[in-house]
Amino acid sequence: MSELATQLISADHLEEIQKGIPTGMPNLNEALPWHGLPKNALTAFIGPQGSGRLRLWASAMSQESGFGAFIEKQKQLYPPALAQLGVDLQKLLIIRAHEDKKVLWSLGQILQSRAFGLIACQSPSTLKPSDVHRIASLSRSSGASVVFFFDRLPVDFPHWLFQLQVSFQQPNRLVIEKARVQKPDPISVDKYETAHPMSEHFKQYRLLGKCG
Amino acid sequence: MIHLRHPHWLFLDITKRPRSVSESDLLNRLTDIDRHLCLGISFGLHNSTAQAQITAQAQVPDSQLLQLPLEFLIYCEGLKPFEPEEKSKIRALIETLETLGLKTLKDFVDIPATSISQRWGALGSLLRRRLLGQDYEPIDIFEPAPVLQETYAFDFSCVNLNNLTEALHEVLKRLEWRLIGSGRWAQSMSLEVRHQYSNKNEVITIQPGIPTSEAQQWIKLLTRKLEGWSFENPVAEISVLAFASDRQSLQLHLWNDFENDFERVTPVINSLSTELGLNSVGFAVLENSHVPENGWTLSQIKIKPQAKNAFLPHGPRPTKLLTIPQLLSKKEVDELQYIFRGSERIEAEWWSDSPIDRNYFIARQGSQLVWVFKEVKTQKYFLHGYFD
Repeated sequence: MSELATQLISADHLEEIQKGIPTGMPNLNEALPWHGLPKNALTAFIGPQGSGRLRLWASAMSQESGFGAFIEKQKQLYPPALAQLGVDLQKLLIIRAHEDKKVLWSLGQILQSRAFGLIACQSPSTLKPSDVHRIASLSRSSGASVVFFFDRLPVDFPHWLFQLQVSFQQPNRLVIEKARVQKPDPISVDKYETAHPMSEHFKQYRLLGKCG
Repeated sequence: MIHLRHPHWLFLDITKRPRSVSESDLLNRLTDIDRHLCLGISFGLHNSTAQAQITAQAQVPDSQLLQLPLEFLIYCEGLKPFEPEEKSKIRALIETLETLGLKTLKDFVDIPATSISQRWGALGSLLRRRLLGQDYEPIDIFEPAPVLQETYAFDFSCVNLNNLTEALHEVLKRLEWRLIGSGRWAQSMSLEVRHQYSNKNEVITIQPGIPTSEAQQWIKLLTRKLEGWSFENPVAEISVLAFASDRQSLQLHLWNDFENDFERVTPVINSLSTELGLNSVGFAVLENSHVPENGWTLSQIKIKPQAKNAFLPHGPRPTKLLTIPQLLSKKEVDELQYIFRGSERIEAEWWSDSPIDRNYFIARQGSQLVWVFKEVKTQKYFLHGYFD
């Protein structure tokens, strides 16, 4: 068999842990197998508004060199705050899609363009597993990291399609609910410090993690 | 990606297969074709089309390619067969080599490239490159894209936009199915309108940001172009041409080098704006305003980069701002746990009928970090944003 064919077969069976997008929080990066938010994959940030989900995403966005996109249903995002967190606003495309269907359609367009590295999306009120499956597939082919913000998890939430789930339910604490890779060792982080210039926004968090 | 070379050569690019289809699946499918059609197919797997053709013809493993006798040079074709005069030249080349005592394809490729070029010209060099796998032929990518056409003749004289739009719906829906069926997108469309009382046809060309097969997208673009259309001369017939693009070539286009980063995202911005509206897509531009609500605008146009801290607010700002501040009840105010009390006072638009005079606080409301203000005039508290 030719060398090319051998390489193809090997590539199919090889599951490498690709380096993710750093979050700007060194301890969180250490706790995650990708050392950041996973690329080619979906991430779920679960928590109420004001729990710090967007600030963590913005911190990662400030580390990303490529374009980012933020898809929301209502006009709520406040870019001056993102600029304070170090986000380059000229690299962040803001999209307001007023219907659930259009949120998913916009996300599909963004992923198909392959021009964006980090995408945030306010989760639609109804999110069917088939839709998530399609988005996950597009994410894999585009190389982008897609973060969904959930106020609370839907009943039929397709856990298996999300590589990383971070919960922001409790004050002063974020919890890694799931970080799915081949390395199953549990991870626990109980101390948090950061070198990020806007770190005071995160100092309230004491990070506890579990993985498996 | 499959290329059929008439009459009986089938080239398959296994690097373009979906991840879900394994190499053995592909071979099984080919064997099925063989069994059903009783063709007696022989396979060859190699890095280039010409090498694969020779190994299939000789029915030897790819590692033994260069051990084959010189006569197999005649099968070193690939996607395009040799012309009769080229075959004559190759036969003459083989005879010359055999006269010199050379026997195998390896003997031929061992001859220095310059000597081959001087003696047998471009054809000799091509054969050598192909045997060494240096002449890679992409399969199917540059196949000319088809032009699909659909026509609609009105039974009556079409004198308004509604009737024209209905006809467009039907035509574009048919085109959508044809595009989906052929696994393609349309990169542009042209609408040709034939009038009842003149021979002059009008043509409208539209091109979305990115190629698409969705009829809805095309209808939106076309109806936008047709707004204000004069129906003084009734429309008798419309014809739509869809210039299809291959999905693979679209992906190649997206990986091209762009002159700058902004060009990479322009097509998708156009596409999103068409669907969502111009005011719903863009990049944030900070404004020089004390009023938080007026602190930024959305712009689709590439603007001159702002200085890093230009118009950046001095105090902490929430990542989500409510468009209309939400009045808090006394109970809700009592439950707030203040983190920074009286941190910032914002006064603006004092000359207007409704001047802004607010004291902003950062507080915790349960597990949420919120931005609230007390209106100085009314002494009422409002929730204005979340530090999400």
